[in-house]
Amino acid sequence: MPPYEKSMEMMMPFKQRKCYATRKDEVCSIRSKFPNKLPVIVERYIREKQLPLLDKTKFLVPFELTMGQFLSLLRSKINLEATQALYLLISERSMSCMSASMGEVYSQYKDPDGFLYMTYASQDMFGGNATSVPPC
Amino acid sequence: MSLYPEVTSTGSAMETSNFAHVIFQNVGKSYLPHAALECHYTLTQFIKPHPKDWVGIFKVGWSTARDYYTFLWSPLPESYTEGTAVNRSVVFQGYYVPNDDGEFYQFCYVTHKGEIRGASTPFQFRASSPSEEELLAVEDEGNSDILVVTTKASYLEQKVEEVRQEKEELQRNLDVVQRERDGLTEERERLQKEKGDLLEEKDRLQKECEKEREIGTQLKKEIQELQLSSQTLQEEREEMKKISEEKMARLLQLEEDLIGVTQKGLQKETELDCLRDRVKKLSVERETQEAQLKNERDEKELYKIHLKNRELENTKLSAELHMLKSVDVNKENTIAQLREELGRLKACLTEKEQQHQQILANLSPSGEIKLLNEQLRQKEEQLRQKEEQLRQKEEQLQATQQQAALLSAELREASSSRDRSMSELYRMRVEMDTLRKSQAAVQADCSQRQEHEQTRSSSHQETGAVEPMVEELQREVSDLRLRLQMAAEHYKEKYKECQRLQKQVARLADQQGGKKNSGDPLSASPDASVPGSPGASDAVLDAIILGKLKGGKPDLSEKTDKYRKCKQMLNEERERCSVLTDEVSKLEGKWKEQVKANETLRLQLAAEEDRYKSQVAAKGREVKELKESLTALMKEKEKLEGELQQSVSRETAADADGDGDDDEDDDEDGRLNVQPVFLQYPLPYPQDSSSPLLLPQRPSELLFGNPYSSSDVRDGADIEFPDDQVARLPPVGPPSWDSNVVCIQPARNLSRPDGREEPEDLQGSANVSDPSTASGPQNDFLNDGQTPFCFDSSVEEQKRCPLCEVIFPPHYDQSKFEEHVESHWKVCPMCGEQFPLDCDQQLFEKHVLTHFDGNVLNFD
Repeated sequence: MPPYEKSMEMMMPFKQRKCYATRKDEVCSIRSKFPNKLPVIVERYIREKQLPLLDKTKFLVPFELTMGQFLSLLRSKINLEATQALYLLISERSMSCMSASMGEVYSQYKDPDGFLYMTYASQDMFGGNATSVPPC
Repeated sequence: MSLYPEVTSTGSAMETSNFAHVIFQNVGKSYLPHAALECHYTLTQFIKPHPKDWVGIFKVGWSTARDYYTFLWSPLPESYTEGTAVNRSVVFQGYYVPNDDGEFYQFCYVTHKGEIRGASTPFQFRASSPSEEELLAVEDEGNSDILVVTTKASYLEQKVEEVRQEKEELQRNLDVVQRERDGLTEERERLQKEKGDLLEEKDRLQKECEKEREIGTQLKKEIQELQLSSQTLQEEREEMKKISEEKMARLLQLEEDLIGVTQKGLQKETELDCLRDRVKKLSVERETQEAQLKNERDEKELYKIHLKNRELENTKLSAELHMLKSVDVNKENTIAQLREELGRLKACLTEKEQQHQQILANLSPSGEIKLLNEQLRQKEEQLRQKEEQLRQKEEQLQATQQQAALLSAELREASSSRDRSMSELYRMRVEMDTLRKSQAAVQADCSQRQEHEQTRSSSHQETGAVEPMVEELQREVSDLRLRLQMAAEHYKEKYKECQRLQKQVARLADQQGGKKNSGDPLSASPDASVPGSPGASDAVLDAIILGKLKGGKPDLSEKTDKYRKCKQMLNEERERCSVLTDEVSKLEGKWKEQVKANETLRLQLAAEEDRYKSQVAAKGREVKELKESLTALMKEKEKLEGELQQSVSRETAADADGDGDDDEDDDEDGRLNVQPVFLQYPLPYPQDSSSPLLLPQRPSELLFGNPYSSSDVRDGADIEFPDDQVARLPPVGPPSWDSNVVCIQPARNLSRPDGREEPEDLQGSANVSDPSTASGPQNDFLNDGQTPFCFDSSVEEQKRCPLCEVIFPPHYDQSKFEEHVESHWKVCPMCGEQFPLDCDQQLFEKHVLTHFDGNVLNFD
């Protein structure tokens, strides 16, 4: 059943779905194809219930794009209303500055496989993994 | 942004007209640092361009023209006309453009005099940070699950790049195409040159063509003439074809007629053969019947003799009877006398007894008594004797009475046998009548056959008379010749047959001269049939002729095709014309040759026809001669027979005494035995005049038996009165005890047959000239051929082979006898032709094979 599979696939995080080598190969091919773009994986937070899933998880963003711009882009993609809140967590840990460019964030937080992992949630992670949440 | 109003305020402080003389187009809000910057502007009609005018990038807030950051000389427009607006553009290279420093800049147009004539809206140089609404664009990347986020500018750049690449490609293509075009134009020029050359050539050729056309018209006229001549020739040819077709049709018709006639002839021949066979059969029958008749007649005579004897006996017996009756009466009288005597004696006896008693009583003297007793005894003895005598007489009377009864029974038997013979005679007479009728029918058949023969010969003459004059007639002539040969062969066969018949006739004549009844010539007439059917050969010939005609037609069509080709081909006209004329001359030559051949053929045909006719006439004459000779011979023969009969009758007439009772029967017999001899029997094939003695088989056969008796009549006679009975009857007839009476028969009967011939003799002498009514030969034959009244059946019934003289028993099977006779020669199973036994087997087989072998029929 494709919908179930798809949902299962979407439920699983990207890192668990694919092994390290395939992820690295993917990054390599993307970087060679788009040299001035950065590969970003955007996933829903596992415990998040309110927000819907994105139809795509891989994003290619230019270096100069700021976090704020990216967030607004995501909001428009998820089709959120103006009253709802949306937070972005980088590498499941830290919230970044909204004015920082994607290039800066990438160089700072990129995964060993070459992807930049982000999770989105409707609330900030108070009481979540306290150790992993850095102060903003 | 806040600085812009200041700039405008400064601009408004200057001469507005000066700042508005040059208008900068499409100035953006920010530009990328270190990137080529393109600046578009319009020179209005208020400004006069100068080569020393320049465009500079000024930091907003500039005060003089020397405050520029960088500048470029404004290029002069090539075709500038005063009073018009001109669009110009300059490109600032990346390394001259200021860095991202957050300052606002603007373009300014500065004349060579240092006057600022135009200024643009301010803009910034900013490295990154695309603005939110301007730069955010989400592009879907291909088929992967990647969402690509790009700025509008980069997207556009990408697009531009793509377009450029495409443009380059197109340029390359254009170059290629251009090169190709150049090549093509070169080629075109070359081709045009060629075309010029060709045109020149064409002109030259046209001139030549005109010349040729002139020649062509001349040739056309010639062709027309030739065509006319060819048409006339074709017409002639068609006429000839029609004539030939007519001739062919006529020929075919004639051949069909011929086939029909030959078939008819064959039919007639077969009919004739059938008739001949029938005649043979009938003659055989007649012989048998005649023999029967003879037997019967002899029997009849015998019966008559018996009858007479019986009558004589009867009379004698009746006389005896009378005598015996008278004796009887005498005896009776004597008996009566004796009875009376007896009565008297009894009376005497009684008297004597009385006397005795008286004496005894009275006297009783013993002596007297003794005497008396003796007397009495004597008397008694006498009486006894008388009685015995009476008894004897009575016995005698009874015997005589028995005799009388026996004689009367015998008389009755004799009379009944006579009646029977009378009825038999009547039946024989009826049979004779029927035989005569059948003979008449056969005669009619024969006459019809003759007519057919005549018609056939006439049709043959017709075919000869209407011989066509066609090319293929020669073939027919050859065919006719072949047929003639065949006819000659046939004729030879017939001649042989005739000779054989002649021999037979001679032999028969000899036999007739010596002992007419000696042999039965069983020479079967050899069946004559034409070997091979000419009809089939004619059909084959027809097929060949038709094939040849068909073969000729394609030739004609080919010639017509040639004529058409001549019309079409102008260049080769003259040569073709000459060829045509040659052909025409050849055709004419051929035609003439054919005509000559025709004439020669006609002549040959006429000669052949004449020959054929003459041959036919000769054959006809021969036939006539043969017929005449035959008739003459027949007449002679009949005359001889008549004479013979006359002489015999003259001899017998001397001994004749009238026997009135049998005269009527004899007359009838004579009439029944009338044998009309037909001389007009048609001979199936002409016979050689050199053999005048040749006789047809028929007359010789007529001597024996009645040829007109049908087989049915004979069969009936056999059933009613078979030969065995005839042979058996006479010995049974006469009783044993008056055999002495039979002994006198021959002497009595010798005179009788002569006596009854008296009236016939008169008839014969009166009708000697008419052979058909002559009854002489039959009687002659009866009297001479056989010892009269010797009832020897073995001599009469004996069968003798005419070839090997082997004698068969009288009751030998006729079919077996014929088989034996036929075993003396070989008979062809197909045509019935006869071959001698010692004939070469190979020759015989060859002959038989001719009926099957197709080579004989193939006349070619």
